[in-house]
Amino acid sequence: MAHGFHGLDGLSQINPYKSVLSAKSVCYLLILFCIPIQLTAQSKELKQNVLRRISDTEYRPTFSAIAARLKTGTKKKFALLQLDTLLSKEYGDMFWMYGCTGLYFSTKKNLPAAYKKKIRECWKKFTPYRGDTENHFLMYYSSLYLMSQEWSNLPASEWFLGKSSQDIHKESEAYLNTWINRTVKFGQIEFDSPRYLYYFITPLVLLSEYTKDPAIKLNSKMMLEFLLADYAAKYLDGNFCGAHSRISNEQAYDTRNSEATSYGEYFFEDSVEHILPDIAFAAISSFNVPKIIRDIASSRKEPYSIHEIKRSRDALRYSAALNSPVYDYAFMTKDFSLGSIQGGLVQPIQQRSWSLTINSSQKDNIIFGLHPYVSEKELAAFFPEEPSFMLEKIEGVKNGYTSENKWVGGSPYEKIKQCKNEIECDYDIPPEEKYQHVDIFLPGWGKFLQRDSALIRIQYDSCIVEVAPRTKYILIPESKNFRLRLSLDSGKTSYFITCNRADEFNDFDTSSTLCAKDDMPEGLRKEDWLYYSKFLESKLGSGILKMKDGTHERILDFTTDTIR
Amino acid sequence: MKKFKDCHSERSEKSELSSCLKFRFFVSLRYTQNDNFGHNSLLKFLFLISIIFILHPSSCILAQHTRLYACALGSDDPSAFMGGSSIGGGLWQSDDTGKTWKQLGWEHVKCYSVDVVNKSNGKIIYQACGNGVLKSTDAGATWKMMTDWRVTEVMDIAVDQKKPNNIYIATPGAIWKSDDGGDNWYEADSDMPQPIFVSRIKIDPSDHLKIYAATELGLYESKDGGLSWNKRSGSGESVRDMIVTSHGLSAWIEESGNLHYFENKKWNMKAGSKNSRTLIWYKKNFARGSGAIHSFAIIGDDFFTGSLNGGVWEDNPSEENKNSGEEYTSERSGLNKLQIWRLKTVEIK
Repeated sequence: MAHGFHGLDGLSQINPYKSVLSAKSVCYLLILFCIPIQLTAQSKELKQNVLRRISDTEYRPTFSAIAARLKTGTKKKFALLQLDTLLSKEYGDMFWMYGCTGLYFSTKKNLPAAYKKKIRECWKKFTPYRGDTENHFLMYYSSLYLMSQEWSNLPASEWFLGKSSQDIHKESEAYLNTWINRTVKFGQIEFDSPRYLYYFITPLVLLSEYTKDPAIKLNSKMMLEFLLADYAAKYLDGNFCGAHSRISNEQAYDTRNSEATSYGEYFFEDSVEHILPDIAFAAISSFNVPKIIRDIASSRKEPYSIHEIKRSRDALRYSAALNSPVYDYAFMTKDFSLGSIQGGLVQPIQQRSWSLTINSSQKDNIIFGLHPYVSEKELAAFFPEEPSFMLEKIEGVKNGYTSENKWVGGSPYEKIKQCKNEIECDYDIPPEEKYQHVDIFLPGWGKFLQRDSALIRIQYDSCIVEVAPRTKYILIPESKNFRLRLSLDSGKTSYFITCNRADEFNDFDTSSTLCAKDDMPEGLRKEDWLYYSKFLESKLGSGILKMKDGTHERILDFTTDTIR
Repeated sequence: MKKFKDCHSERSEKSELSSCLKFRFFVSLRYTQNDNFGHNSLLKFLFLISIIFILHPSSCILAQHTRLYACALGSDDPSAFMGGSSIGGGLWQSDDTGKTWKQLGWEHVKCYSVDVVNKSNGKIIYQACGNGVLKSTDAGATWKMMTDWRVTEVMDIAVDQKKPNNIYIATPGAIWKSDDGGDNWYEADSDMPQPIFVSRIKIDPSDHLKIYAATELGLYESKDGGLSWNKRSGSGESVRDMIVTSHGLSAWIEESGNLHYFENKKWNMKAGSKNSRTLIWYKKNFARGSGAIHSFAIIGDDFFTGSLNGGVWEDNPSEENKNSGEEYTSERSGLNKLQIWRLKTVEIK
């Protein structure tokens, strides 16, 4: 399909094969040297600790873990055996590509020549799948960009694509510039994903470290900061709060189990508790997160609201627009976070429309709800294959999608309104829909303070959560947790949820309604702001992100390629 | 030469390979029985040599056959379905009516469709893939990716056989066209709503400027090679598939399963259901297949279907049902572990 947005691209046409010391390149180098000194280096000890931990851990063959071993000289023989496996499996996709690229560049000095040759052969013979999502394309084109830089003068016959190094490099650069441009102006598509953020950060780390082109180097660093700042604003002691474009079943009750947490802990907390192997690439690189982003990730003294605009996944069918705006809102406190999008289907299968995260040492600390929508229309909207067949086969790929008890997924019949610590979800479900109920999931370790037909009041550590169902419900024990199932009344139901600190708790009015207006200052509209919060500000379409923390500011200006 | 012409004309009725072999045998008998070459032993010798050459299995002087291509999205492993996986996918080719198969080119790529430049005798092949459009100019030995990052999930491809450098592709967002054999591409759907899911694109064999596009908003027609498009009257909803023959558009099937077909000099419509919305052709009768049966191909008397549940199937009608076109049984004809999205036949000399 065509990736629309005509006229927005403004692609940089920098030719990497021109002299590196062109006037423009010199400017970028100067900019790189002049980046404000706000860096909090991930300490040498931390980096060594990361590499040691990864080297000592038993992973199935993984490029980043092999890189750690080669870098530290740990189990080198075993690492090379694992590398043999990865280079001989005759199947590569974008996941294989970025790992291979990372290993090649990060161990270039340590890697035996025979393996470099083997890797070169792979990029001639393997025919990797490019994938179909934003993270897939970033992995694919960042890998091709770096490898075509490394083998810069090869003819078409030396590449699986049948294109020359120059052509591959130019195409990859065009994609990367377009993706950066669209993301910083109109929002990310696979936004706030506890799983897939990992697959955005790693390719950007590699690009920022190993590209020779000063412009791409600077833009990659800026994009890393952009995504990490976005993450930091919703980071709560390892939890990735709010709504998520994509979340897996394993992370449904607890995002501290997620891939993103590895980077969160590494960049924001100097911790390696939930370490995953790709952190090795970050530890080998020179990238350090600016202090202001670490401060954003930890400054939780005062509650604050975040308004953001993201984009829906490319709609292949049934939509007049390729990507629609997604209004993402979160309310953050040191004890809990409540976050949501406006509802509707913005991503297939794994969407999470709202969540309430309790900042607790207890496992399973998330309250969330959904209508278990199951439809070939949902699948056909986002995937090109035969619709009826997709529904038949989906369980093999995304286990649980067709279940009435599922934990993840969006619904076109859901409308969500939120103001600070209060959220209201309305459902209007046609009778022909397969599942005629709505579920709210409650961690089982809470203490029930009240439970009647109009109100459920539960205490989770320092927080009191109140759920006011507007139709009949049943409470179903489920493993260690509870499923609160609302039945429909004439096809409709709704619920109202609030969360407060126990010491700030007032009697709850079950007839209460949300604040009438969006939680925005007078005269401002959320539709105009890509980011609006005490920490992040960016006007929609501006390409400029301002990070703020008290008197400190850091501005990523993608229109002039500068950091101020 | 009459029989030689027959061999051509019977191609659509019988297996061309077997017809041509019969013809060779006929020729050999005729010339053996009526020795016009008299006593010239050298000529006799040369004649015998040429007959042996013609009859030898590897001979290609008169050998013509129908090549069958199968496009696979992936293996039938449940985890290889949709989204981020294409394990096992690719283009497959059979030169013996489905008995044996070999894969051409890229492995593990979603292959949605294929087209071949007829004049090239199977040498110039285009694959419509998840990654874009792949082209081979050496019968599949080497391939080049012809599109860039802007084009993905190419659902169908059609080569203008009169001007083979003109190529049209259907994608989930647009119709693209190349005028230079795939080197450059531009969107050729200015009159259509954007974005638009286009599942199939076909060129009228009798008028190469007449293009048909099956889209989610109905059936669109262009009479000027994609410069302008009009929605066909009577096609109000999403079109899944269509049949275009030398007589023009013959049938289309809609998302609802409704089948539109041209018969008795008029357009007819049979109501269907969502469970029978894949169009197949059986013994010159239109029929609808299940979602799993996703494509068909005919070689002489042999009728093949491609199944998303796995494999290419060959129709073996029982005697009593042979002419009814109603009930038949099928046997696997290979590729049984692959999800087959499309089949295509090409005449090879």
